[in-house]
Amino acid sequence: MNFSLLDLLIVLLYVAAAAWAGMIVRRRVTHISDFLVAGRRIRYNLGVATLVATELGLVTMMYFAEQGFRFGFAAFIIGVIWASAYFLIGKTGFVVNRLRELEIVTITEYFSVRYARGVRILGAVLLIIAGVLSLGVFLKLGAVFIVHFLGIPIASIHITTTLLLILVLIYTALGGMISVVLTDFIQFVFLAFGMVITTVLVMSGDGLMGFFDKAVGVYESQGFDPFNHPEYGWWFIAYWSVFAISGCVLWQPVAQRILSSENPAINRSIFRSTGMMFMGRAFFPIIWGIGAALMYGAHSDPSGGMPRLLAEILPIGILGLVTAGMFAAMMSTDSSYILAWGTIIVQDFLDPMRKTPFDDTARLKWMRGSIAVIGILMLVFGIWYELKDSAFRYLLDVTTIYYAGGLPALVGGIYWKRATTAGAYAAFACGAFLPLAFVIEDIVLQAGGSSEPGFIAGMLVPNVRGFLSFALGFAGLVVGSLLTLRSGSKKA
Amino acid sequence: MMEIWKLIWMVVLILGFLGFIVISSKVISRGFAEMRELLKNLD
Repeated sequence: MNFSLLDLLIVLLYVAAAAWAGMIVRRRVTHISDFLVAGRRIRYNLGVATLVATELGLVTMMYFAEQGFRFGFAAFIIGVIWASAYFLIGKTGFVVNRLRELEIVTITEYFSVRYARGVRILGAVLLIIAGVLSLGVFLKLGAVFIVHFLGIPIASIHITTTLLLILVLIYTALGGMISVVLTDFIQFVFLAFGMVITTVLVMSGDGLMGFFDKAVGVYESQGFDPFNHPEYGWWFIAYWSVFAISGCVLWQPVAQRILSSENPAINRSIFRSTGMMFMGRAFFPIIWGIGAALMYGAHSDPSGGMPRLLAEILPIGILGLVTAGMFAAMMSTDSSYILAWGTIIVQDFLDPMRKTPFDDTARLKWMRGSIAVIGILMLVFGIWYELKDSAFRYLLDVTTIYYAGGLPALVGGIYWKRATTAGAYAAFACGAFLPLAFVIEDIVLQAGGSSEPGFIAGMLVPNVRGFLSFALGFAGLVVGSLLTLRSGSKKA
Repeated sequence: MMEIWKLIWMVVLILGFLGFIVISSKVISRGFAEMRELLKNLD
């Protein structure tokens, strides 16, 4: 570990720049649309920067590195499918064109436009559950990284991550989406430099061919072929493909950017470019994870390997840049996610429950309150919850709670005139059933002190369970709609 | 079969690497102007 004064200065410079950018807009944000969707003035370059910075968190690097460490180059399939989904949507405008034209603020708002207020509230509740549960691991994985990378004692970790979280909460609560976009851009600059330089340094010892040859010795043929890998295979590819499409159109942090862009054409360009950037988003950390497995052996700690490797190979100066990049990754994702879930809580849960809608002042006040509550939940859950499987698997499970019903309800709502309100309810209920039952069972078992897999985990392997959830969601929409066609249909 | 996969991942990795560099350079060089414009529109 060579952390020098120069490295420390680079990190402090970054934190000061991000905090400054977040705070300067405070007095300029006067309208709720500025706070929620940056006044719908986001253009191509800022759009790409904010989308990449949001979806490229420290948590993302940690779980991709863990996948690379454990499963080798076969994990590349995750990046290829994810990038293809973005590219496909950018090319066709599938769903996103229509959403941007509607001038809505959240995707769940669409459910009340197309179906009914109750569908919006149900969708929001499932999205809040998925969002808050996923946020729980962000701080945990961030702490694992900092422990191994900077060698900070575990007791100081909670203080460091809490201080960073408080800084994020302050600028997000004050400046909303405008603050988030501006800090995302600064974070994007640090991230892009940090990731490219790190990848070159990880591979430079062996060269491209040498790195691949060494990986053969550790992973054998299984580590290259995703179709025949026990962790992936056809079920995973099917599940991950529908999951990736859902991630592009349903995930509120992504959707908030779709809805913030100046027009649908800019949206499509942003998606096409982001698709290419997302190859790097997956490939670079996977390479770092593989590098760690080659260095320390495939049986060492898969989560701690990558930060340990980076701490050893990065020279003075670059270490500070990468640390700033990692802090950037953590802060940009945390701020966007906190804003996204705060928006959903107020716009799609609290407001629709009231007889008279919030005025702008009350809405901003509640939004800031929700942001504070989410921050507290993040801290509590992040410290208490222990992961049983990989972080990637955990995030897939909790997010499927919302996606498996949300995708059929959204796609059916836009492209299928016969979709009804009852069908949308059925889609959400059927889609959420398996993943929600699995997650609840897991939390109950953990609260009782058990580390054994539960009934649902034993009954269905994760990839089949995930794909089946989407199939149930679509079946729910079709059956529910056909059974109630006369009473509940609205124009698509 | 493994050799084919090795080749595929090498090509995809190089493409991903170059794509990342090209797009991020473009975004960084032009993004500052968009950031200034966004702030100006708020005033």
